[in-house]
Amino acid sequence: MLELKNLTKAYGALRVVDDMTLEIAQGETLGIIGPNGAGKTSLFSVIAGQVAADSGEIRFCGQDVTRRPPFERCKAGLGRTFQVPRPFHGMTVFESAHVAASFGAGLSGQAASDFAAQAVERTGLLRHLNEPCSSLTLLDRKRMELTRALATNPKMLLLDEIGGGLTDHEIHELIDILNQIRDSGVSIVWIEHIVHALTSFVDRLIVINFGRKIADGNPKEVMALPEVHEIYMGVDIDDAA
Amino acid sequence: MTGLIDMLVQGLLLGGFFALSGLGLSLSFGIMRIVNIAHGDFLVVAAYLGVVITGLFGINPIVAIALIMPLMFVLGWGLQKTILNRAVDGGELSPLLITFGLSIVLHNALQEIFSADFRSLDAGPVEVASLAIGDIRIGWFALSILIVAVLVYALVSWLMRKTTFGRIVRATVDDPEVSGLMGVDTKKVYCLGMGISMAIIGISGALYGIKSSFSPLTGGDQLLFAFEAVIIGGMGSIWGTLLGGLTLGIAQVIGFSIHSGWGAFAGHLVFFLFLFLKPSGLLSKGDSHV
Repeated sequence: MLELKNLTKAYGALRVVDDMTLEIAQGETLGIIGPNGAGKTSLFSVIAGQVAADSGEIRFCGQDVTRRPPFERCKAGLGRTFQVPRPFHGMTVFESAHVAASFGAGLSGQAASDFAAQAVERTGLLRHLNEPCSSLTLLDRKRMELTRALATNPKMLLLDEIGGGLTDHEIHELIDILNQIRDSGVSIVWIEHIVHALTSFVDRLIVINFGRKIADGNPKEVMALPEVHEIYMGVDIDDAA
Repeated sequence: MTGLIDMLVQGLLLGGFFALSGLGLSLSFGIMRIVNIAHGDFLVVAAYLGVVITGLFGINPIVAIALIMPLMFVLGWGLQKTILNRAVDGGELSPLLITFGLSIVLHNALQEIFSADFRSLDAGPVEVASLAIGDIRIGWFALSILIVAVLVYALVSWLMRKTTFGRIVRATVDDPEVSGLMGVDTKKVYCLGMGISMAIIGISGALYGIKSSFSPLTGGDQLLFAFEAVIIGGMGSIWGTLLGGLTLGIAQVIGFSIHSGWGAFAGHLVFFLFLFLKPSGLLSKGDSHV
């Protein structure tokens, strides 16, 4: 569904995405981990089109979208959320979802309103439907990010640390919602620092460091690799001794 | 007492025009973050469009507004699409410099085409007709401008609050990047925004051409008055600009009653007072901003 071929993005000498080649199938759930500054969020920005790739190719649903603007990629079915929620401050929950449904999902009139309300219901924000986004709590803002992305009717969701800052209980609620989204056939790519939450959800895990993919495979096997342990968890004291 | 009420009434009538013209400037700033330095010159362009259209078809300039507005809309759309959209991502300075350049180009182009002579649009007897309430005389034309201004404000406000278009505009103003990721073509939203801004400049410019004489170089004052209306009202606030325009109108009429040369001066004085005492304007950005 999503194919990245030798994708590279550099700021001066710093390569934030370095020769990335990756394929994600329809309905697949992929986790991305890596140290801070490894280029995880940059990878999302390049895939979503906010940042132009220096070289390489991005294909989505068989189409080359490497040079397409973000709004076209969104309409093609790519939805993303932000690590630090970016709600539309002057708008209500419903209005925000409605913008996404009107444009991302390409609906109008009653269909757009229904779809927006449905997205709000799926993420559990219905009781805040007509409240301004600026009054939401952190958990609800994270849900709002998800709501807005869902209302664009995505085929693939890029989730950037949507669990960050939440309690265990809140993360379980979130994973319940994500399970329902996955079951509806949407592919999910999830960057997360809370590794146990991530590995319990995804089919496949990749590890990124200095913009490069250093491991790719079954979550348990990937986490057991010594180089992943070293880079992600730091050197094990027992091994060092 | 009657004198005071008369001044207030005449001030409101004059302010109606400043408010209408200011709305065009307020929208381009509120939506695209573009300070349109060529605002006054586009007002003059609209007035000259009136000259051309009334000359070609022999119609009343008030009727010609029906043609001027769509023409100005297309001009605004085209300007945004071909020039300004390339600059909006680079901060607020680039579009400001571009419109400054446009202003100079327009001065010269208009002088080349129409000469530097003063012109005015003749709308016939309606320009001088008035009604009397007690000792106060109210000009029909000025009253019509005020009514049109309030109607245009109500229309724009409804558009922003209640329609899907308004929601997209508000989302784009809030966060253009996120809006793009929601599938909104923000560059197109900017084109529409500039189109609407210019259509309002179109109606203001035609009315300006009827109520005053103009030349290719008179746009500067009009930019200043519109700018003052926007600042007094509070930048980015639609209804604030209406209040700002009316305040400026009242200030000018009061100044004019003290001395015939003090009209604009009194307006500037109030503007400066606001800059010093309440720089955020009458309605600072709250619920009412675009």
